[in-house]
Formats: sequence, structure tokens, C-alpha cells
Amino acid sequence: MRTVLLLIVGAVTGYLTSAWTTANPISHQAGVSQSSAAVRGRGGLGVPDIPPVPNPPLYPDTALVNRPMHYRAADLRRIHEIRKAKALRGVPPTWAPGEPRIEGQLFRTHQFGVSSSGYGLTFRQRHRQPRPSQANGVMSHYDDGDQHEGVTDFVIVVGGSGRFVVDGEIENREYGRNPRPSGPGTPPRNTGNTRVLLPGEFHGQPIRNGHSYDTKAGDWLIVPPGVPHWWLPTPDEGMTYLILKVNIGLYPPALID
Amino acid sequence: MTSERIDWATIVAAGFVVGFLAGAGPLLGAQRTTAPVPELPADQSGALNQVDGVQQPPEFKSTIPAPLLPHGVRTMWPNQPNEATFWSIDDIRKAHQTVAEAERNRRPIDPNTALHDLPYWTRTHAMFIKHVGSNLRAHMAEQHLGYAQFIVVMGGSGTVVAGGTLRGPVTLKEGNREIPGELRGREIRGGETFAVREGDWVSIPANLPSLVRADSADGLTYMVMKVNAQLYPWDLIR
Repeated sequence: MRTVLLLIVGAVTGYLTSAWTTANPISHQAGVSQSSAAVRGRGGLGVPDIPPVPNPPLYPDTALVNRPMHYRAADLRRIHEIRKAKALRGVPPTWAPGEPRIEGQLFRTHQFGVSSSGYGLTFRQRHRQPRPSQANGVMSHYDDGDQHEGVTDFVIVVGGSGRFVVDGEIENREYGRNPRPSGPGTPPRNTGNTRVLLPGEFHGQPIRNGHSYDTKAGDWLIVPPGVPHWWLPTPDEGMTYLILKVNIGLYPPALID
Repeated sequence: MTSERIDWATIVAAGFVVGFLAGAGPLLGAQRTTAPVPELPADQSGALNQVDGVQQPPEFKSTIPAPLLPHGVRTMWPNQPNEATFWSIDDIRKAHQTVAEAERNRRPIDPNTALHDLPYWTRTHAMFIKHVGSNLRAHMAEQHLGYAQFIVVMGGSGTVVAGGTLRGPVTLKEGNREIPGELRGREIRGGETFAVREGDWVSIPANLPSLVRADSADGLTYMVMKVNAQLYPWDLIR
């Protein structure tokens, strides 16, 4: 009888211990005393303190890209010519082996040379036929304009020409979504709600009450955070440009489109 | 007495183990269970605007339209301009010619006065124009702990040496004040050398030494965007 009682006492104690440790994994791992009813780190209830690191690095990400880079104007112009020719032939705008490309860099504070095409530079064109724009499906010859709450865009035009519309307000403004649509004929990026919404990233067209600049190769533009901007490339010419994005310190890069 | 205690302890321990496993078992099992992936409704499958595979006239399909943000209502970013700024290549080339001509006439000017809206300051980044003449002795290698550089060559030609290590580094001094994080030296050992001309770009991560030299009669003019590492007050950046 005594043996059975002892067995039951042990089993009940073991069961309760198991349930408690599963429900409080953080305090269990951190070895926090049971006497404290609530586990509270600097991040709040249930969030453990991150141990301090002696002499934390000023630039934690430069170990990956800690080298200078040089980009020649002649290579940049050639990328524009290739992309323009592909656009005129209706060839998919993806980089092919043997073609020039720029190797971008991604830092905690800024990034450039990141483009889905693989060339490292962005190319835009005036579509011959109106098509549903990426964000909201408005029929247009042009891609949607952008508005980023979290970054400044510094733009250098590399080739081609067109009109750049900035400031003002985006009509039919839509939240950004991730992942981006890709490839011709892809439905607008806000169709359906299966893509992750990016707060602070907006797209749409047209822009009203903005300023327009006629741009060509060599021009610079800087677009502060929150300022709408929209490209209207010259027909059959297109525009190629670099975007250097400076994170204004409020956004993780994953939220930047 | 001792063996009796051992018996008790053994029995209690055995019970504890059985109870612990009984408590953890269902929870561990639940963690291993994979929830079934729900079927997406047809109108969320990414094939919108199509009926029987035929593209239909597009509609306005927004699920969460973003409200208009009136111009000027922008409060999240202290010290950032409200409007965009544009510099044409014509103005950029003219700025190089102006600065080069001033140097030829031995009346050097502040290069930032040659182009509108420069220097351009914000909390996170700043833009400056710099000009180096052909006097090699005047050139010092620099190393900046507080910011990365993105250089755009505006005119002239020359070389940029970047990377490696700074030989004989000294902390920059202005009067009696040391500027921590700003190092200067005569040479760079082991860096990469780039021959640059108008339209070229050079990216130099923070804390890498760099040395810009001109090899043309007009010198070399460039714009440098300094991206703050965000831990530094601008007061410490040169």
C-alpha cells in the first residue's frame, strides 16, 4: 500500500512538473527562480534578456561585404543597351551569362544594385499596349509609382530618357505586397490576399499635384521617405537607372520593396 | 534504514518519470502534428482576371486600399526633406568645369557652391562635392569609422585606392580637438586601385581606408554620399 502511495505521489509530481516546464519554456531555459510569479525581461513579460556583448561592432554586416566596389560608366551604359534591345524584341528581361551586370551591396544602413532582373539596375519601359498595373490593376502604359515610408531613394539615370514625376499624391494608392509578382502577364500584386502586406510600402498611379522632371543619362534624383515617385519612360527608349536605398533607421530591410 | 530510504526514493523517482512522460507526451505529439494546408479559394489562387484560361478585362481588385496621404503630412522621419531634388547631368558637368577653372586660376572655391542644393544633409545620409587637384602631395588617405561612402565621379579622371590598411594612422585633429573615428594617413597598404572617370561609381564600406587622386589637368570632381552608420553624431564626421 505504501509503495502504491509513493508511486502515485511521484507520478503526480512528475506530471505537474512536466506541464509547468512545457508552458514556461523560457523561464525554464533561463533558470529563473520559481519564486518569481512572472518572468520579465527588458523586452517585457515572457521575453528574456539578451546578454550584453562586449564591444559590439558598429557595422555588424560589413563582414559579408567588406570590400570596395567599382562600377564603370561604360559597363552601365552597355547594360542599358542590352535591356533596351530585349524590351524591343519582347525577350524576357532576365540576365544571361556573358552579359554585363553589377554586383550590388546590401548593408544594414543602405543597399544598391539589387534588382529582380539580375542586372543590378532597374529598367522601365512604356508598354505598347495598356496593361493592368502591378498594384491595383489600373489599365496603363506605365508601371505603378512607388512611395516608401522607410527609405530614401537616390537614383542615378544610366541610360535612356523619360519623365520622372515626384511629390504630390498617389491616386489609387495600394499597400505593397510581398512576394512581388514577376514575369509578363502576372496578375496585379494586390489581387487576392495571399501575399504578405508591407506596411509603409505603397504603389499606384497616377500621381496628382506632383513635379515633373525630364531626365536622361547622368541625372541624379533624391526622393526622401514618404515622397511618391513615378517613371514615364520615353516610348521605345526606356530608362535604366540605379537605386541606392538609404534605410532611415526605422525599418528592417525585409519591409523594403 | 538506509536501504528503506533508497526504496522510497526509487519508487518516488519511478513515479516521477512516469508522470513526467505522461504530461509531456501529448504536448510533444501535438508539436509534431502538421496542420493541413487549406485549399485556397479560386479567387485567391493568383489566377485572377482569367475565366477558363482567358484573360478578362481588368478590374480594380484591391482588398485593402491604402488611404491617401496628403502632401506634407510626413512625421515619421525627423530631418528629412519633404520634396524630391533633381540634378541634371548638364548642371553636374558645369559644376566640375567651374571648380576646375577656379583651381586653374589659383582661386579655389568650395566645390559645394558649384551645384544647387549641396551639401545635402539629413539625419541618415549626406551628399558633398569634393575636388582633388593634380598636386599629389596634398592628398591624404582617410578612414571613416562613422559612415560608408558611395562616390559618383562628376568630371575629370584619376584613381581611387580603397581597402587594405592605413599606414601610420593618426586621429584627425582640428585645433586642440580630436575627432574620434576620423583617421588620416599618408598611404594605404594592400588596397585595391580603381581607375575612374566621369560617370563611374565607387562604393566604400564604413571603416575602410580610401585615397582619391587625380591624373588629369582639370583634377577630379566627385560627389560622395556619406551614409551614417547611425551610431555617430554628424559632428564627428569629416
